[in-house]
Amino acid sequence: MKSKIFILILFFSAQSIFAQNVQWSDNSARTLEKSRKEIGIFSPFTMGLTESLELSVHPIWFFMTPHIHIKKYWTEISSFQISSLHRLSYETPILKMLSKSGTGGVLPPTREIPQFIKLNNALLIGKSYKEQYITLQLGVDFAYGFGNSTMPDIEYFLVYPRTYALNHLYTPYVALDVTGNLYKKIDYNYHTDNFFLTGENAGFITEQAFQLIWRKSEKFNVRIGAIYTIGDFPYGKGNKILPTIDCLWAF
Amino acid sequence: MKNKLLKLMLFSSLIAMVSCDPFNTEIEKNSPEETVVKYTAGNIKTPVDKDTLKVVSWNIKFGGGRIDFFFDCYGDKVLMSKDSVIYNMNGVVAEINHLDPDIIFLQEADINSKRSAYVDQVQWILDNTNLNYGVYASQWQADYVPSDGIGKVNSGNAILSKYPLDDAKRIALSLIGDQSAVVQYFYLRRNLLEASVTIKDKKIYLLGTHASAYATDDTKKKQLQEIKNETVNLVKNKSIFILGGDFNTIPPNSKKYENFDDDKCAEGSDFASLGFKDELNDMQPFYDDYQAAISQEEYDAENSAFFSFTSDKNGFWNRKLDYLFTNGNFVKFSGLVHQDKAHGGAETMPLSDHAPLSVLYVLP
Repeated sequence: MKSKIFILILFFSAQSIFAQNVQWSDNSARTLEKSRKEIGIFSPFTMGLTESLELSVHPIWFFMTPHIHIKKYWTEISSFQISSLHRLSYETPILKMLSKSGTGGVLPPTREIPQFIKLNNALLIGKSYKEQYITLQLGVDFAYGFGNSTMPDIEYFLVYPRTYALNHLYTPYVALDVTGNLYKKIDYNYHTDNFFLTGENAGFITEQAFQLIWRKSEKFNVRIGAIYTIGDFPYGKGNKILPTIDCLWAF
Repeated sequence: MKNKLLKLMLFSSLIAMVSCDPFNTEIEKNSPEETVVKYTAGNIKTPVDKDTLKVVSWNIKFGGGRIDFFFDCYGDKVLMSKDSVIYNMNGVVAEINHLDPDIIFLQEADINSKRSAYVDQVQWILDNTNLNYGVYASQWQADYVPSDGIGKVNSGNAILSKYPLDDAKRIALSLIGDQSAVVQYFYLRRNLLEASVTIKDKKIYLLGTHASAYATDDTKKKQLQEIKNETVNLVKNKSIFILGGDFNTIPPNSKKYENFDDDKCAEGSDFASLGFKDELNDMQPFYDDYQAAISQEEYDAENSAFFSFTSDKNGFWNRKLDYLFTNGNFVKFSGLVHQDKAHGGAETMPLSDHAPLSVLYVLP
């Protein structure tokens, strides 16, 4: 509780100057400028294909879970920017890698894992407001397994809501993202994801994340923060706070 | 400027603090008292006034019955369905009701584990037997164990009683020393669970434990010493205690101590049986100083009558791993390992890989 109050205090004490000179990849409705490329330690490789189309692929994760992410900016209506996000991934290779005996066995070795395809689509509505940029995201994860599945849920924080659709077909979610400048080259980001779990284990999970972003230059930034999650898991109510950290390079 | 930098530093410190135990396995980060979970039955049953207490110790194998799990190498089961758990727990409850203990020491009781469908087995037993109160101390806790698909786990020792329990605390035992840091982080953390019960104005300390099963170094010896040390402390304070549990080692003078017929795990595997050749005297200090439910004389006369473990559901009990000791008074020759209908009145082989051990304790 004390940590949440502290985070809120930081949020409301933001300085008035919003001095982001270049658009970095983020969870907002904005896309990268054309030809700008970015990569992070944990963040995917992201490239601005055009002024309104952004492509992301994680260079390591791709070989375990082939995927592609696209963010498309469509139009502006009454100062609201409208974009959409589309993610397609083939989940089975990583799940089979993690289904093993001994250390690293996230899933039991004896469970049947079908060919899983996962599709995420989201509508992003963004707007600048008092030197901050606010984005509302309305999305849904779909997943379909071709074949028989006896795969159990992976009930760990952050993973569970994002893999829930594999066993339960779909997971709707609502997200809010706020970015602003705190002081000179330090920006802040607040992001919340809220998952509505359907079916047999119906429930709700919310994640609240806060990050400080140090923009050393237009080519390098460091992001450090924390994420707090609370909600309904197969075992009942669960909550956790975890650190987040990343470094991003642009070229 | 200074205030802003201070806020940044405070925020960075917060990040560092919250990241220390991401899978919530470090039980010892809380105090010995805070790590104990207290239970009460949904319906309190009034115990009958008596001169002796029936005390039982039983490793209930997390409600797994005789399902062939991967760690015994007879099968590859990892996770049970809720129906299976309830079916097995009903068998456990039926046996506990048959035994009708006043106090029972449980080992491998799951309270919130994926492998046992998140059934709280301590509450289940309290709500379906004549026992009223319980204390529980975890020996294996993790938000997620990324090994063999185990997932979330919370399993440990419990002491259940018809009478209120006080002074509960969890005493941490040594961790296995020759494991890597990662394995040790996710592995079991053995404990000695202590509580007290006051009956007819006499306080009795209850100590429940479950020593290491797969250590390949001297961890088990250290754990037995730590358990013994706590009993010595109680004796110094002129306290009466009853100690019960699965010590995972055999009594002195055991005729067979290695190459058991139920050893199916390959040599070198994490679950291979190492035998007890180097441990034959490890339990002697307990026999020297305290009264055992099964005396050394009884055991020496006929080892097999007191065997309480086998991993082979189609075999028979082939070693004694379970004990009850006191510095008070057990009724002589009242100790019994409930091996089958002829010894205890019920078939216990299907219920767990351990048979329950009972004894009568004389109230002072």
